[in-house]
Amino acid sequence: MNKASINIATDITPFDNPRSIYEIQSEAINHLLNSAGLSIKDVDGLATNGVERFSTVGMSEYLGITPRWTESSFLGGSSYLTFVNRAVQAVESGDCNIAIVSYGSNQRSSKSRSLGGVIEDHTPQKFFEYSQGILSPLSLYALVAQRGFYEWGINSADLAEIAINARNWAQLNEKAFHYSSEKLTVEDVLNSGLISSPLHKLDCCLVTDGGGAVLITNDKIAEKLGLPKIKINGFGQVDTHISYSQMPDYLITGAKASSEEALRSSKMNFNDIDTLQVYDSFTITVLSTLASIGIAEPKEIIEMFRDGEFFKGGKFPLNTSGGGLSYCHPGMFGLLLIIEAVNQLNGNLDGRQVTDASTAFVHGTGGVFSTHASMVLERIS
Amino acid sequence: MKLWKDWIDEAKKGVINVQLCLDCQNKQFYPRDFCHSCASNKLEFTSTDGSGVVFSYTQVHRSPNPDIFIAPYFICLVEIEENIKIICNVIFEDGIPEIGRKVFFREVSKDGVIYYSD
Repeated sequence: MNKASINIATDITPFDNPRSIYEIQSEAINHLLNSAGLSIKDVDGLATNGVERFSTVGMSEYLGITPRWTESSFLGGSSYLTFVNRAVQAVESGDCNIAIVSYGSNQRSSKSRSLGGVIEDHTPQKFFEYSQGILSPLSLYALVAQRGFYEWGINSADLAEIAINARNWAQLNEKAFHYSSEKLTVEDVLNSGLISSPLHKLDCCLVTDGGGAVLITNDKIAEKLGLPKIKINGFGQVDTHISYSQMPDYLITGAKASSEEALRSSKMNFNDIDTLQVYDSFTITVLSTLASIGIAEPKEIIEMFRDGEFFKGGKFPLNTSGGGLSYCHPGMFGLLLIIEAVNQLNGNLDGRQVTDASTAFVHGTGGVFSTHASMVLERIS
Repeated sequence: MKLWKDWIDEAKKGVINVQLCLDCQNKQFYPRDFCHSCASNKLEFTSTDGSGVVFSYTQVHRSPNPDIFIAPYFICLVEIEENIKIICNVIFEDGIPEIGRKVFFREVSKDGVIYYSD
């Protein structure tokens, strides 16, 4: 069997220059391949989704390639953790040698996102839930937050700390949407307007354009090209429900099972992890995920935010890009979580670089807390 | 989808059902053609008493469809049987929502909106 690794990654935040999904992806991919010393014709594996119904085929045609391996499962925000894991497996098995995992979205400039969500008429979700006037996915996260207030004894001011932490990181990332914005206060979040209570506008992620690409190759190629090597030490995935009414546990999510599997297979625990990249579609997503993966009890987690434990110099530098809340959120943010982790481990980041980061824990959440994928990454050379 | 339409038709007549498995007595919602617990296809509707308990609530301030939903309005997860929840609109008579409050089925609108109230 070959050995495979994640090598390098690039992100694109084209806020001032809108372009098509194909153009965002091709720009990211070409930039990545140039950095690696490879040509587009070398690529024989591609994973992407959300481009069109034939996502990998359409993107391959645009790029002018005919890959031997493709992957296009639709898992929302966790899709790209699954894709990167499968790309490594594909390279190890020899199904391909040089794989690209890429994503792009122009949801802001094309106004393709609606508060009501994407409704498919034949589904049980449409029949029993969209018919009730939900904002999807926002209202489910709101229901989880309200239940969390009840069971955990937290409140909106507590959740605001998560948005503030994200904004603080974004001000260290010149590619972030909120790089030049004012520092956030609790009052700013509480005064930003309720959308689906208890969640305010600033409890919600951005809606932006953006995308990026990650390179996965076998180790012989990586060594020949002098590329860094990052291993997936552990991976776990679980998908629990898609209808609001079918969520097995409204506070402790599938993140518990996926993270336990990822940590078990990596033989590591959170004391070994240098940075956390955790999906932040909403402030409550972060709190629920951190509680589910076992960082601490929810109230303690909020205190850790107040104490700076999730900011630069803290115990768990979290969402160092500024996250979906303050950096960018082009729909399925999972790939951007991995890109930030890879760039941290490769030591590429200036003001927000975590000193000597060699390990990262990444968690993707998709749908309405529906899909969960966790991975432990370690830079080995 | 026939089962789903049957469920709504029953609700329009004033009855909120769940499915009962005649082989293992498991109850489930939303209706499917087999039992989640034992895979039996011997299932029938069994009515709830029309009450439920608010498990969580959200007040929606931006309507996705202003022709049907006038913001703000409350959407709740209501537990209608042990471990069975539905998404519905709830009218709180005093305008104050509360987790744990007992609510009662009122009607299904012509647009298919399920209303409970306290």
